[in-house]
Amino acid sequence: MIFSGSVVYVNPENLSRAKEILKFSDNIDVFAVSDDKTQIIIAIEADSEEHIQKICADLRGFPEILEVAHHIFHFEDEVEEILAGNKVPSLDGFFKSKKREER
Amino acid sequence: MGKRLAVFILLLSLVAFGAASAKSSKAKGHPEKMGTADCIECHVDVTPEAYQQWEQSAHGFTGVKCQVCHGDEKNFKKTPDQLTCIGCHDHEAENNTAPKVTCITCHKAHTFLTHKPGYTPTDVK
Amino acid sequence: MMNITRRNFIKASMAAAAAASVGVTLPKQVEAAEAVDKWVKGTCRFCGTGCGVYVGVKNGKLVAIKGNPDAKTNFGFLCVKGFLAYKCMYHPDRLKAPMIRQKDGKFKEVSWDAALNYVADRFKYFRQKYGKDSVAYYGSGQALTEETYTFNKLFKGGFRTNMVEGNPRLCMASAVAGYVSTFGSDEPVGSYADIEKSKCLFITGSNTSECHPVLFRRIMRHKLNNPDVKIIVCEPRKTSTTKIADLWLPVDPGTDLAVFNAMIKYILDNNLYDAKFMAENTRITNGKEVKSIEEYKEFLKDFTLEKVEKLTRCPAENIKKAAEWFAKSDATMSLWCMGLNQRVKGTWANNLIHNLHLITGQICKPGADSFSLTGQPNACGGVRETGALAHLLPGTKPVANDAWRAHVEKCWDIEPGTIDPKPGFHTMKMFDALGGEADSSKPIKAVLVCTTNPAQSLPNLHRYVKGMQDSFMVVLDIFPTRTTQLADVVLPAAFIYEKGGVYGCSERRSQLTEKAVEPVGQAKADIWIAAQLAKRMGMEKLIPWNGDDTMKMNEMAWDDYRNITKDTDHTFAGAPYSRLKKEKAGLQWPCPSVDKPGTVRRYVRGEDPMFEHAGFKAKFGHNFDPARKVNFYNDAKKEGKANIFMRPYAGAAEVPDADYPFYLTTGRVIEQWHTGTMTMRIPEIARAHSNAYVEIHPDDAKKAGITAGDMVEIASKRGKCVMPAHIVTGTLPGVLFVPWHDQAFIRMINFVCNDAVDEVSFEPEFKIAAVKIKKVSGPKNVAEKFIIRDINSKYS
Repeated sequence: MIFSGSVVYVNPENLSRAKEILKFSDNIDVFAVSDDKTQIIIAIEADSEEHIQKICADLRGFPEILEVAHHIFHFEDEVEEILAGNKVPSLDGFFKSKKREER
Repeated sequence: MGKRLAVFILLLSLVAFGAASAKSSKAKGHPEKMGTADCIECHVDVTPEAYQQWEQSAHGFTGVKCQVCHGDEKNFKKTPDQLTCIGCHDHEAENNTAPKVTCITCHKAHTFLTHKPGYTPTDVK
Repeated sequence: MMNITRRNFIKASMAAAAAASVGVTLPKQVEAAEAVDKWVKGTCRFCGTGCGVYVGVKNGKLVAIKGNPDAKTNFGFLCVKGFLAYKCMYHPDRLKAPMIRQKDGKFKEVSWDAALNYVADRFKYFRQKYGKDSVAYYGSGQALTEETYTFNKLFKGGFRTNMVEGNPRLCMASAVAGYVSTFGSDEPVGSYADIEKSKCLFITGSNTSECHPVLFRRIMRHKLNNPDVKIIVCEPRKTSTTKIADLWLPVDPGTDLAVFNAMIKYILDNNLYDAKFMAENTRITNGKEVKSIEEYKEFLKDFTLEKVEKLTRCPAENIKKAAEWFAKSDATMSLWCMGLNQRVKGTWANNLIHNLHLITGQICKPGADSFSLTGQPNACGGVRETGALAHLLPGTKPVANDAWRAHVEKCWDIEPGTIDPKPGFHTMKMFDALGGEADSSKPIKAVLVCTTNPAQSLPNLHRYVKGMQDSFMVVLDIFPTRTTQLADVVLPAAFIYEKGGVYGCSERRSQLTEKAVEPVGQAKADIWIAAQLAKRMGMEKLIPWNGDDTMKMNEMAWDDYRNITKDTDHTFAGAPYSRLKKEKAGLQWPCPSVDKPGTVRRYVRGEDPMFEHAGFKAKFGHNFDPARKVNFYNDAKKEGKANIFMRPYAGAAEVPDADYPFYLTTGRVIEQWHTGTMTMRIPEIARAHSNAYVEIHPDDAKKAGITAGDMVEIASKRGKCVMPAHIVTGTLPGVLFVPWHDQAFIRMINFVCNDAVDEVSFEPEFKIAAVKIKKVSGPKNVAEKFIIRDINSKYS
């Protein structure tokens, strides 16, 4: 289980629509909106890194959502799992070849 | 195992670094040098609308000036945190019917008088 | 799988961190996760409003403050000082160790034992060589009730001297004299709760909006909710208080007695008085004989609206309107503060306000009261009620009263005749009599100064500095001040939240502050210092509370005080610590037993428990006519009546003339408090009004060739200051205003102020001086936020 504290950037006129979208996902909790209505503070709960990436990719697919930025992660039992030797952390994002691919 | 852990720690610290740099990129303190001037001396000109709203508000009447909520040059906050409001309006905060939203969601800075028109609570769950 | 609460907690923390990094505010519950370990109940450290607070403690440090929503004074609201200035307790300048001044003039840190032994030895020496009255105490309306009570007991009962004074002499003495002479007992009849029930508010000699902001908030709310409520402000300055006023009565400083008399005359002449109330509950008197209403009218015949307008500059029409509103409203409440008290005719001014209420019957009913506001958090509770002034004993009763002295001696378990029947010197006389051993004209050789800063706060300072310098002066404080610069011994005191104790505010309400954290450094509670001195001078029997647990010591002192006053109208017999700890809003005296709620309104049958108080009736021989609802039972003549004193007109001690053509009046600004020792150490506050300035009317400025910001010299016969000019239209032409918090020598306005005193209350006339002004230079930036930081710095 991974948690992230993230900020969703929107245009003010799309705020309510964006909030509707976020509401649809069971993995997302909305906590606050900035005064200027451009930032939505959310917490994401996901099974794995890949899961978070997928959630974000989905969100970015909506035209109302400009960007999703993660500011902090919390790897609760993920750490325990790794320490217990039950899980190998994925190092996907660390390989140059992979990055080149993405570009 | 040891190697995996080391990689994981590296990963963790990178994330942490990312978070920290995001934080530090946000300039701390008042964006302008304040010298010895009182907030109002400049803000009466640079943010006349905010000044006028404040002056006519309950805060204006009772002398709750800029720095009470926004802090001084070094501890300046553009948006005061909720604890600032609670300092005086604890009772209201406790009896808030929309407890998940901040005070200023509904009580518009700097008039604070009434609810913002067309306000919708953010804590729809 | 982790449980739901933990998951929610993590998510909240994640959101909090993300929000913090982009500067967005999160809702309350999320923040609460990291707020404080505990909230401790207490009282605000600043003005006399008595705001209830909770201080937040985390890891043994005070980290937050919030208003107590259950408090009957502030309902949870705080002003800028209350909200921010508690932080001064962790300022690096805090005094942290006892210090004795050495031969080279520098202070040296010593142990508590060494410091206390030294002070006790010196005090013994002076008492032996120069007599019992050679060692004096000068206390404060900011010390806790238990502390002041302990020092008062030590000096009057132990040292047998009445040389016990406190700074309330400089601020509230005229109010005390006014209440005692009119009603027979000190402190207001009603409560703050009358504000919301009033239909007309008469605010005079008080810039409530800046000096009592939280009370002003209540007034403002009341006015906004009820636009028909009339608010009258009578002041030489058009202060921010007038923003919500319907009527401003501008008066030249010191001439308001004529305005009050004109209002009384107008009310009497136009039959707007309450003849029934007057006949039943009052007597008109010139101080010797009882007079009739007709005689009072004759006495007032010169106070016509026209003549008074000429004398005071207050438009006749405004006086007339004020008199009508005052008399005709369903409930009128007066509020005043230093503007009336700090005057050579302060007692008379107080009497005249009471008269207005007594002739109109605007008293002893909801919303109608003659209410004096207090400047300090514990002037009422700590000094007035415990009788810590030169002429008083606990219960605000005179030391000259044989029966009361005998009662106090019995309670203190000391030999009859121990307490000196002769009052000591009032504050100005005390400092005038203070001097070194070489000066035989100065009978007082040593003084212990507790929680106050006389070297900045006394008027006409030049006259008193030498005495403080030459005498043996011990100062108990939390910061270096102007007074520590003149001291021989400095003892570091604990801040209120580091020791706890009782504060009693303007409305007879005493509230308990719990000790929240340990004092910084070696700082100690003042009560501990008092008890340790007593012990070293062989008086531990008199002050038996000499342990180390300050809350325990406080409780013993509080119980001692309660025992003395249990049969008086000041009774707190029903307010032991066990109850005060539970009461979220404190208690108002009279509170004769634990089953009584305390008293919102005095002198009214059914509301005031003294009507049924057997001990009170037996001790003072009062009888209550069962036919009367109202009874001013402290009446010396035992008729249950209040005095309507016929007071003639008298102006200020010093009025402008050809050489000194301006009135100078001084006062406060919202952010700063008294001599700025605490508030000037808070950056947010220091920025606002970081230096003193002089407010000048544009007409006067033009004549003197002064433009905004110019450096102006203000000089009286006594001294001078130089500070920047603020050109304002709010003040009457011919009247200057200067705030007095600035510690910079060149801007300490008390060098200029007058030390002439009221002949009844002995309160000096801070509020009025005749001065001249001249431009010294163009604008200079003096917003240096000057504070005294170096304990070895010089008084200059």
